[in-house]
Amino acid sequence: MSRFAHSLRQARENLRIPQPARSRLLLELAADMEALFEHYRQEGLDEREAEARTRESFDLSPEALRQLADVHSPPVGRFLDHLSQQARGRWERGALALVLTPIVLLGIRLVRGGDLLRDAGPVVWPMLLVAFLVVGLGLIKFHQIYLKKDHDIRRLRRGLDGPLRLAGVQLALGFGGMYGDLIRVYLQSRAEKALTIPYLAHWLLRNAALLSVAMMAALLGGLVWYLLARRVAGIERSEAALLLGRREI
Amino acid sequence: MGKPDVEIQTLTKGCNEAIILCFLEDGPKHGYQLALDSEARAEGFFRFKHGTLYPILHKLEGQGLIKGSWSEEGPRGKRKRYGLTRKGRSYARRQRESWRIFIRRFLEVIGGEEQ
Repeated sequence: MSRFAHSLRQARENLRIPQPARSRLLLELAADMEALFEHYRQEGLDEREAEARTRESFDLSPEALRQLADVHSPPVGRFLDHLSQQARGRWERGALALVLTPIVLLGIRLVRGGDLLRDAGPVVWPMLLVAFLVVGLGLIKFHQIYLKKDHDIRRLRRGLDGPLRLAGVQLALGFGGMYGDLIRVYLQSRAEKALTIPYLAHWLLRNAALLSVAMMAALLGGLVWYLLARRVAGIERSEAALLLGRREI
Repeated sequence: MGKPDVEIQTLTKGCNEAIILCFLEDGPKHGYQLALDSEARAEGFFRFKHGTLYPILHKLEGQGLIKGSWSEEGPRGKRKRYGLTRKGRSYARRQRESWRIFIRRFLEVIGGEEQ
């Protein structure tokens, strides 16, 4: 427990910043307070005086607290953090599982059947490659968190957004493939003057399949990111709680 | 002589930001180091309370002018250091020039410019 746990607890009470930014700020303050304390000690101050001067220096004014809240609460970030906090509840987790389970089962069934992949056209292969990358990244992080139990925040945060970015790539590939195909069909219709109904029906089927694969793959990326980010945020909170000498933060 | 990029309405804030950015030109630093360095270099004329420092650091980080990274050091490990980004480096140069112009103009206005 930090010698400045009391000051940090006070800061924590007054900080209106969503998690995990709040935990990170507290960790930063705790480390800098310790460093400043050491600096004063090296300057020859006794322990009590060094502690008092450090506390005085790190007093967060109401204005500073308001500014920190402004800095850390952009609309999108606030929404995502709120979402993450809400999902910590047992009921929210249950609801999430209820929604995701049929989607995952349906996805497995479609992929195993092979029709969807065959119908979706050649763009589906780079999408599958990206999906494997998502799974690979997820497994690496899973190994780091659960098996290796490496709880170094800096290393855990590195590459954590990868699955989410790849989910964006999946969607871009899906929509890009669809628009590419649309342009191709348009050019073909101008050249041949007429397109048959079965041809157009096949086009619709192909692109519906492509978008389905894109959305399922993006959902997978989002899900992997969400689970990992939630766990890492939990580790960060535990680290900050340890410094504050609390069980919860 | 161009118009300086300094807002009169938010002079204190702008001044603090300029000090932080220009101090980081020497290399990455911890938050508490910045406060100590500014006190030392200004011989106590400027005093940064650490409480004032963190909102500015986090704002500059949000604007992409500085970048914070956690490093393993000290007995407890994990300290956050801030360094200038490329954008921050060129912004710091512009800020220095803006403040130079501003101070010169200000002294002209109040009639105290040293010849």
